[in-house]
Amino acid sequence: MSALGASLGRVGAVAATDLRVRFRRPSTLVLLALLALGAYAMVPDPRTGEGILKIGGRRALYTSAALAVATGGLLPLLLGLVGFYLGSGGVAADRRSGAGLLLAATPVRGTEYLTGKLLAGAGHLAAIALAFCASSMALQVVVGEAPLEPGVFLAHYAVLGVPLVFCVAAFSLLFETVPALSGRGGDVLYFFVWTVLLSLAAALGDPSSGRLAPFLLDYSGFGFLFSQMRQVTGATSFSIGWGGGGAAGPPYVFPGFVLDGPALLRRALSLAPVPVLLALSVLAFRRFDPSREASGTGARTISWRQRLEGLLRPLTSRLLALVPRGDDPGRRPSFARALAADVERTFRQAPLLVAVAMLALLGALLGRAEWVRGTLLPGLVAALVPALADVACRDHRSGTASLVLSSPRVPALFVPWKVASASLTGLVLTAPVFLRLSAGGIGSALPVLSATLFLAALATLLGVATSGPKLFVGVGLALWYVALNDRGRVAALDFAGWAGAAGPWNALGWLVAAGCAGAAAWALHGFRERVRVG
Amino acid sequence: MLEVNGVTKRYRTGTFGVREMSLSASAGVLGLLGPNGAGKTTLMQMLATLSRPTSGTIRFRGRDVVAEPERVRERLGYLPQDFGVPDGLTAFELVDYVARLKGVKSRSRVLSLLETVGLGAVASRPVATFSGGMRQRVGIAQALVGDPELLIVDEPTAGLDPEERVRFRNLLSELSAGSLVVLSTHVVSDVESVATQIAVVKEGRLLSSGSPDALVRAATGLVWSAVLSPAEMERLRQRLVVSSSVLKADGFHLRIVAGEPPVPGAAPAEPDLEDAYLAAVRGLLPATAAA
Repeated sequence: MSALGASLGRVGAVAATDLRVRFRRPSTLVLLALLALGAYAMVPDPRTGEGILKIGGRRALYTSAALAVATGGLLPLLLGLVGFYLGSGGVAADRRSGAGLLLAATPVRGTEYLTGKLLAGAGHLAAIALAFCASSMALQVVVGEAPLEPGVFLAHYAVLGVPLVFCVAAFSLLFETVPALSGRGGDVLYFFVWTVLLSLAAALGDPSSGRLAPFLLDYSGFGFLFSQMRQVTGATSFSIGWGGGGAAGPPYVFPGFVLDGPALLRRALSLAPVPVLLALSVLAFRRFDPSREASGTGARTISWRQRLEGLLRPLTSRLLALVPRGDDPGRRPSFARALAADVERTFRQAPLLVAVAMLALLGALLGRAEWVRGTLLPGLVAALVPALADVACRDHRSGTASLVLSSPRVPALFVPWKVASASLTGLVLTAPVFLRLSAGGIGSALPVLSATLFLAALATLLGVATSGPKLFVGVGLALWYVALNDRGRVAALDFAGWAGAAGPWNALGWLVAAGCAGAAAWALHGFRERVRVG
Repeated sequence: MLEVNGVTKRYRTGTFGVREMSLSASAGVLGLLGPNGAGKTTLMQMLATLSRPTSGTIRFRGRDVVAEPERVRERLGYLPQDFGVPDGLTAFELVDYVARLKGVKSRSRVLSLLETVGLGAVASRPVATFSGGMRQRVGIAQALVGDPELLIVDEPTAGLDPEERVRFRNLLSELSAGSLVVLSTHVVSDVESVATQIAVVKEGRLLSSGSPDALVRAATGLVWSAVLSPAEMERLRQRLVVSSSVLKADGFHLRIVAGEPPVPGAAPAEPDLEDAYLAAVRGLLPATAAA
């Protein structure tokens, strides 16, 4: 066999195995099922006069081109954000499980291994996109207003989605292989990279400018989508999704994108970051070297974050020592004691949280009410998301789940325990703000409480469902981003109340959502435990 | 076949994993013996091209393991001390995965390896459902893919029951014909019957090496038998290096490793490999025992 053939064989083996593992994860199957249902929930029935795509205020007729653009236009959010958090972790899983040590002793080169992982990540995201495409096509058969044209659907999805799946897979790889990006900080950073690139691509996406940068940065396809809509329809405004005001005038027959040579070249240019990101990943990849891996068994390196946390650890210990523990050996184990132990673990694991809590306290005491609501609160909620992300899944990830589940009272109450632990942790951070805002009326402070409880319950649900913290980080930050940008226009989206738009009923709605998330987590965990125990 | 010259592994924090270690081995089974934390795993990771030495050279069949790791990996089989399996993979899929990375495409060869380790009947079951011993056997099967010339197995018998241990030792012995098996353990009986050469390491340093017989011979005059009352035993417990202790009607019957008679009335005894190991760890054996 030629050297190239052997090399391709190794790339194929890595990709095939990784894909196999990804598709056997329950989270992938759940996502595919949700996507199949999601299209039905997202696309309004045209008989109601509503439309998912409105161009210049007119509803677009439900043709294949219109539905493909409308549903495919959601791919940047679906794949660019949720896909990153749900799909990344192939290299980290090999590192965490120890399988990386087996692979590192084989002839597979770092470039081959990472290329295989990139292809698997892209394949996984492509399957998600295809599932969404298929459910959208099925939807057209049910509520469409023109015959289904599968080729049109696939062409629009391909032109929007191909650069997206490869770039997101390449970003995932980079964030897994660069040690400084591979933790929770990297998860948060990617969210901001995504929002900045999305905004840049949309802002710079004028095809007549002749500049290369908009094409190179437009992996999401947003810039391409905007410029095509302007080019094809001549309209200056369009909207995708529910809302956007009532449709006026006769339905518009959207002809679809102009997929000519320049348009395809433009999308092809959006693939340019892929080899660059892959090359950076190869440079950063340590081939599971136990003496260099930050999380390896033989790790001997200390990151800046560990140094910082090392400085804060004595302070954390002193503060935690002030909390009465009730260490009476004669007392029986109780839910409250288990809860206190888990909250303590959160703060001991991340002493940075103590610094955040103290800053929140100082800010709430010294800041003006408007500043506390409009600036401090959004900052705290953003900090809360990574802080709560692993509370429900850390036992599983650290291999101590069996120890935890053999503790008295914990197995039956695992989910309530974790929801309460995450809630209490969140309240330590947000309670000063809640109390400060309560001075101006309890009604305006309630959303702080409901948002904290909702995030705690959602973190538990997604942690239990995926056994990892990433998806919650993505979903939580996306919610935060949408609420921040909405600036209170939709009161229900002002979930923490920082825009001052949410009232007690909105808070009650989020509390109900928290209850539902907690109940779903409990049901899911219970089902898994029944399967495990047999 | 294998030449380790002045190898040192020093971490960024300044601690040493291995210090100035030199040894050579030809075809057969090289047993690395040492207490926990002795540097066995660090040395094996360097031999397996997983990490690089800070200084020194490692050569296998004349090839520099550090400069040409890919060439060595083509001939390498490795079973780490702690290894995992990606979620959901079956035993066959895992071994087949490693086989394809090594350029072995024969499914029948993969199946035959699983048969060899007694897992043929459960090849299509997820490894996550296996017992500790079964997982270890999957690890052994993947290490044997491609008929490696250098087989590195780190604490391979952990989790195996006594029958599996014996079967595994016999397997290693068969494999060592024409190739080199490096086996690390802190259980002397694991290497006693199969090793052609033994290296005793502690705190990252090579204390002693040689054939099992040579090590045992070198321990001649360092092993004593004595009978102590419980009171004497209590008094001397901390001071003596005891390789075995049996309580009988007349007191504790002890085998003691020491450079001179440890207690009045102690009689010289025939050393065995366990005594030789204890003597080496206590620094009582010469650095290189005669072959």
